[in-house]
Amino acid sequence: MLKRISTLFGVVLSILFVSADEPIMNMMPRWDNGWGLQLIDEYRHEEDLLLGSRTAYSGFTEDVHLLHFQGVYTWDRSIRLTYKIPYVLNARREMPDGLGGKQVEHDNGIGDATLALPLKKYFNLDGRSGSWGFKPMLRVPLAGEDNYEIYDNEWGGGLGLSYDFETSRLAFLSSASFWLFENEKPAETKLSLDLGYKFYPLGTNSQILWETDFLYKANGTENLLAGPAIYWNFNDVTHMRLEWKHDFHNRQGTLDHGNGDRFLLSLGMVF
Amino acid sequence: MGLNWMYNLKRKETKMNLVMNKMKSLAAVTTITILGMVTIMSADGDPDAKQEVRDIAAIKLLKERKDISLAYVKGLVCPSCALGIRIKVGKLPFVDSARYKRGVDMDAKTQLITVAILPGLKADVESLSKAITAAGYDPIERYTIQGGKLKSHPFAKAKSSK
Repeated sequence: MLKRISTLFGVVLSILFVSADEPIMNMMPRWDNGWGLQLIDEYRHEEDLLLGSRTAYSGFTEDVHLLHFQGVYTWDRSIRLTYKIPYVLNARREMPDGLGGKQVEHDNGIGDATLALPLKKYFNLDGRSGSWGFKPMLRVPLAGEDNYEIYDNEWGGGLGLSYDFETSRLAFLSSASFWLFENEKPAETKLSLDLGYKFYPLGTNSQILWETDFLYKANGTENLLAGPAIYWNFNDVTHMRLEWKHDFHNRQGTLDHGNGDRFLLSLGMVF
Repeated sequence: MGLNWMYNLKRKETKMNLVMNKMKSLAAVTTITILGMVTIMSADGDPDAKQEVRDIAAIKLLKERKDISLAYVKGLVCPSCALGIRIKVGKLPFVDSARYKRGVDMDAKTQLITVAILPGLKADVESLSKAITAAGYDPIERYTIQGGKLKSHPFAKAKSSK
């Protein structure tokens, strides 16, 4: 039972951290009939096994390496359609074996897909542009079975709200998302706040961001992650982003891994 | 006795860890709040985007070249925002897409776009306005120099922002 619950936690965390964001770094395409593809390489390392705010098993680590295939189509600037399909390249975690030692579990293969319909209301002001967003989301179970699951093969429904704006120097993005799942997974809420500063080295368009995510689950799990990100736009087609987030606050409702870091390298192309 | 001592030490360590975690969280939330407030306050329009600054930039650009069309596009505040403009405007038949990037140059501070016009052709104002709107922005006015003075020509009211 404990194992099952901790597996669920792993699943929920890994899904949420990427699914709240939209493909092509939340930004594009804003034009009618625009489309884009994004590949994200995500690596996550968790240091300990936690129960509540307490480290239940120090040094019981988890390492997860994922690829995310994402796409977006902008029908009209107010209506987008997005998909996200994760693929677990390798996931490995250490759990207590009940005899005072560790047992190592693995997972790999396709994960559960997320479909979303972001609806946006844009505003253009003098020196400032932004949007309000409303996003219905659907989790589609595609994952297979392993001795430990990063994605848990379960239907889910979500709603997202967002507000963002930018000037020639600054960018601000805030969002909230809420998920309900088909079976026993607890409801989840995630809040995000991203702040960016733009600069233009060597003719490129770049941005440094500080990003903060807060996750709350109905069973009492809390996670505050924050860290820097850097974005480059080399040309009209290719966009790249590097992101690092650290767990500043971890509270696990049931036994699960925490106290870690995650790194994401994204490559996006828009047309 | 020895075990008690170790237990107390462990409890102290755990308490210290909790305090450290709370401090870290507090520091993170405070930093974010301050940055958020600074961003929101400073984002209420860019001082460089004032009309006088835009007019000066427009005069300079129009005096430099005759084979361009110059327009003020509201909300066009980042180079990557211009991507959609280049995709939509660059396809127009009167645009010289060999010049600039796909025939379009922009200044995020003044929100001016410069469209390169092919020799012997004139910009079709209506299709230019439609292309800018389709790219997600609001075309406000275009500029010409008449009698040495800057003259603005408002675009016909395009479909409002969605």
